Amino acid sequence: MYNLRREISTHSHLFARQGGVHMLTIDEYIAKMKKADKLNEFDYLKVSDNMSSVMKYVMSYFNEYLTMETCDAEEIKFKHAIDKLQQEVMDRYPQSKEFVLNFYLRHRIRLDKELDKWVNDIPYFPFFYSDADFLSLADGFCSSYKISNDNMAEYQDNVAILISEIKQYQTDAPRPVEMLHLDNNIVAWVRDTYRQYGVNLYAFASDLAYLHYQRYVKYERGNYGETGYYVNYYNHRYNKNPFGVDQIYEDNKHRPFLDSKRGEFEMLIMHEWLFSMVYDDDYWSEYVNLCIAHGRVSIAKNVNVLIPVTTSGLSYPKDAPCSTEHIVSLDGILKKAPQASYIFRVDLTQTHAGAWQNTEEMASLITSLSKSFKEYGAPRVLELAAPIKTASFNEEMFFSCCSALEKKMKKFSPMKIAIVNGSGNQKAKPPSYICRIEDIIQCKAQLRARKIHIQFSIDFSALMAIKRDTSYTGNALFGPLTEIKNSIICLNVTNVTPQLHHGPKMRIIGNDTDVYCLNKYRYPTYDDFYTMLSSTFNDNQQRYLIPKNIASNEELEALVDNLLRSGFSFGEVGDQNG
Amino acid sequence: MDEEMSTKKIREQLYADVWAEPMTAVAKKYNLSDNGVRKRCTSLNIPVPPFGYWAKKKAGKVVANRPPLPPYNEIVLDDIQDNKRGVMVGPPAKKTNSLELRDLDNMQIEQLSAMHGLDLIEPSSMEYFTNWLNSLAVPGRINDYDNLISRHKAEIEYREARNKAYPFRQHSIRLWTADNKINERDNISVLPIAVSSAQLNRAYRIADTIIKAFRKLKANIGVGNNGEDNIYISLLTSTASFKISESKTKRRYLVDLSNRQDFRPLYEKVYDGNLHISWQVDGYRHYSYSSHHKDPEFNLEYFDSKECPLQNQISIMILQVYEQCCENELRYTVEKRKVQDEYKREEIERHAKEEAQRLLKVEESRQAHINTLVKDIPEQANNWFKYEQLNRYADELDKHLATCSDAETIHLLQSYIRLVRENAKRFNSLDNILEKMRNIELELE
Repeated sequence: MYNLRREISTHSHLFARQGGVHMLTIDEYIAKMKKADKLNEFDYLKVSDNMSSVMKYVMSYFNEYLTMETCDAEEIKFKHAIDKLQQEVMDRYPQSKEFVLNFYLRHRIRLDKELDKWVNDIPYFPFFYSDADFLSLADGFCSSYKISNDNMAEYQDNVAILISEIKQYQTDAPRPVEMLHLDNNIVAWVRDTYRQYGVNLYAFASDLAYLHYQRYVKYERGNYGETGYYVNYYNHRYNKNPFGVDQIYEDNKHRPFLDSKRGEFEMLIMHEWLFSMVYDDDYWSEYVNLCIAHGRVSIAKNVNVLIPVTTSGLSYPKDAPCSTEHIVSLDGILKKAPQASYIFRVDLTQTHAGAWQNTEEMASLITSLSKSFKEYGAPRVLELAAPIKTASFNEEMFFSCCSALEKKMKKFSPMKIAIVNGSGNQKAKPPSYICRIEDIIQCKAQLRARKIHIQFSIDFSALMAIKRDTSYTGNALFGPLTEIKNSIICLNVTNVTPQLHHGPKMRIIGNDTDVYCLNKYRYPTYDDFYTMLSSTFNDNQQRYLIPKNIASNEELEALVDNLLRSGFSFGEVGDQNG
Repeated sequence: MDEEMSTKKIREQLYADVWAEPMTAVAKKYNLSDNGVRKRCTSLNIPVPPFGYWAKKKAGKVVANRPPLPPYNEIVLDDIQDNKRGVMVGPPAKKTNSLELRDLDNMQIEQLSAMHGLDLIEPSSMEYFTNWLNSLAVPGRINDYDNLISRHKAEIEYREARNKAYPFRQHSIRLWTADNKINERDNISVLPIAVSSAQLNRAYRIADTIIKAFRKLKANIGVGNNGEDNIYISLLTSTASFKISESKTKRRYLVDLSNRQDFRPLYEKVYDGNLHISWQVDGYRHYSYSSHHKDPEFNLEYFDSKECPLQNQISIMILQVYEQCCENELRYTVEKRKVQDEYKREEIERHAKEEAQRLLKVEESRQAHINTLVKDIPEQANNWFKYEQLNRYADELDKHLATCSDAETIHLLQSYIRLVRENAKRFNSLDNILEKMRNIELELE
């Protein structure tokens, strides 16, 4: 390693000539003269005097101060370069500061810039983290970089340190806001990798996605120039090896943070691609679930997990194995042993019609339920139909009954209790107490205030029965549901005809800029009940799927298919990876 | 019946003409070109003299004998055509079998009603037809596809290139590009073949075999220009069509869930390599255009299976379609005959009725004349008596005149006698009576 002091002594003639005095720049000279003359440029009354003074300063600087004996332009330039270099290097490469300066003094070469440029051409440089990596790079650089009157090999160690500092400087910490839709485990993996190895995997993924964007996404105009489109010419959907990840992984699987993480790494790139490049976020949930189903990732969890529940003896397709049955009772009594795990619904319109409004009736119901559960085992979920809102309906009594029910059923934990909403059909008189989305939100608030942990089983066809009110749009229904999604444990869904969206998708990006996005491979896009349902939940929570008004296995399969393509997955109880 | 009779007569006449004088002379007679006459002979299944026949005959050389006029409905399924135009030239080198259809014109309606389907084929041709059917096979390779297949290939290639160049045309979006090498246009109708590229060659071979077989059965085959892919096969009085498709199965039924290799969703439908052909034969066309009743179409489906791939089902396919077309032809003929018979009967009845009415009118007219005559008898009798009386008076006067000697008396009396006789004539209505009687007799005739 070289010593700055030695270098200074070599160039001491420079400093001795000036007597060690710093040569002033012109602005420094003017400032000095201004101070000496106490010139106030803001004194408007002395504008002409001030102007003439400043002109004199300039003249005297060039005619008197900056003489051939007192200055050497090249030297001054060199001096300023040194100053600038010192400042930069001190901030960026503190450990290599002296080395870079010495090298510059010796060879007039900004080695830091040369290395910065050189490492950008090194494939996978963002993955380099260890001393061995940097030494290997330094060796490569020193072998290839030729300078006169010197041997780069002697600087190898310094170069290695400098490279490591360059790497550190180039690598920003990963930001959670960039990884919004990624599984928590994957985000943790990215963060840990940065913390432990100084490697920002997401930044690499982002750069790679951008490279593909530059290559495959074109801005094109319509034939008559009236509309612009961002056209994606890359087929990213259902691609076994998108973005050439196989090769990247093969080249880097020896790195500890990438070992066995091929799928997760691909997910980073795909996340950036879908949400920031081509705006195909509809595909994200389905993609995650496909990755998990194919065993391509090990640390991510399924999105929108549904546990299939069978009704009326229907059979699910083999990729949605079902071991839970739905049993409906009018009196709260199980007539026969359930086959396996089950969900038990009590229709409170008959035997225990007053259970929500009468503590004794509720107690009687609880007794019946307890007896059945003791004999046959508790269900996964106990569902109770919402009360009818008669003229004498007492809300306080209803919540009291809820509280009593919850307390008495606690012994059957981990069984959950859920209320099923009634029909929103305005022809139904009297209506259910919980028939609109506003009712559900309000009920939830009341339950929370009373610390009652009863949840909801949403019957969507009943909820959407209010169709005549034109203000009751999909957003009005699904938007509020997002707020209480953690309290929803069962989805009662009918097979709705999917609505294919035709034409390009319009997206708002940046500052409210509308763009039209097209995909060359014409991926089908849907704008229907299922996509809204998927985006409402969009989490890792498991919920039960109870098919409603399904008459055949074929209809059930169609329902399963619609749910799969809109980003749901099917799993078994407690199995987070499908 | 009248149209059929004229076809028969036309054939016989044309057959006699082409073997009586050269084609050019015959053409002038019919006001056609000689090529037109040849085409007419082809369509009417009339053999024509071979090339050079007339020159040889003029030179006195031995020429081929005139072959008998074959049945109109004869179909030759073996290839004996020895010229590109397919005109039957000269007598066949050897006796060949042919598929002959029965001459329905000479059959009673009861016989026709009892016939079904392949009963339309002459019993003597049945074995030949069956052998031909059994010999049908889809070749492993075809060098010269039917023109319809070639057009399909070209159109599919164009559509793929067009969809690649204009990937968003289904959204009515056309992006501006500097060099549009592909001209964008709507689809041209071609054969209805909807299969994957892996099965396309097989589908082509199957379609080609079917088309060529029906062409041999003298069907008129083409593709309608209605914007959709289609085919029509006009045979006898029926129209048949088919569509070749490849079925799709959801991936979940094709892959091993425990060992998934691809990254495709399980709900995705993919081509599964199984072809099927859907046939539709229109219900028979009613002879009576006043009938608005439309008979239901006859549908047939043939599916690939491991035991019997689709290409092995060609024979049964063609047989069943042909049988249905024959059935339609028979029903059509029976109905036509019934309608014609009904028409004839109605005509006869109408004529009889008209005749009866005419006779009635004649009788009424005659009777009216007789009545008039009878009504006039008393008057006529009186007139006759007056006529006789006056004649007798005139005779008496003549007798007296003979006794007169006075010249003036004689002259005056003669004049008077003339007046009496002239007056008597006025009362002689015998001629009138005879005229009237004559008219009555004529009406009776």
